[in-house]
Amino acid sequence: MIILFGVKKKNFTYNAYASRYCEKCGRDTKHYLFLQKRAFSIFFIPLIPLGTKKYMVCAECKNVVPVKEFPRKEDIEVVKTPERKN
Amino acid sequence: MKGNWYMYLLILAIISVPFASATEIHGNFKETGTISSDWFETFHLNMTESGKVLDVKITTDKNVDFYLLTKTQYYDEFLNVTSISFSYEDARENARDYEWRGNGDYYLVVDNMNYSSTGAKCQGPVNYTIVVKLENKGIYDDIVDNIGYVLCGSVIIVAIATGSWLYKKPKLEEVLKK
Repeated sequence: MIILFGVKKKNFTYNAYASRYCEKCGRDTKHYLFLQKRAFSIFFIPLIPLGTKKYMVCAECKNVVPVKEFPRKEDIEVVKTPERKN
Repeated sequence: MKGNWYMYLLILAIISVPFASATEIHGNFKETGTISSDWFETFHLNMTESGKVLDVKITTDKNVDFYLLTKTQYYDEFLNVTSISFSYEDARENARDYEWRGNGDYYLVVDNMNYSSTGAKCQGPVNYTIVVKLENKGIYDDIVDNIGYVLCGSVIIVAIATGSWLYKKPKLEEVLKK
């Protein structure tokens, strides 16, 4: 019997930007907030939540930087445009 | 007399069929006895109470065939030696436990005949001990009976819960640093 298992990931992006130094660009750029949820799945059915990972993505070069926490509400800029599709 | 030859044949046929006397079992039962060569012993169990578990243990000093049969199997197939739908090869043991759930008439047969070509061969008289216990279903028996449904249900519930968590986008305020 073959058992198909793996980790199912679901990505969420927010129209919220924070200014941050980008190591790839070498300057302060806007980074948008990127959230990834992960769950252990068997036969493509998610069964065990594995947690959430937070990233900040450079809006210029798309460099992805994992972060422990997102900035505070005061430090971000929310853009009132339709949210990015995942 | 001359015209009744078929009657004699019929009587002879009836006599040649082993007499089917069954020992009635009601509740817990224990018996020790001997089965002659080319003979069998039948124990009739009428299961009327739902939720009971039948635990049968038979010990013999020689190999015999055991059958746990329904009423139809016993009368139509075993006694009339017609086509056999029940399993007999696997029941060739010196001791065996049965666990039976459900209502109806059941016939436990200890067979010391050469009834089937592949079953136990008669090796002379057989001493047997039969112990029957009628027990109430345990607390977890229903769960064990339906373990497949319980597992499927659990998986579905867990999958729905995990799927809801996985695909629900948290609000921005929830993910920001406090």
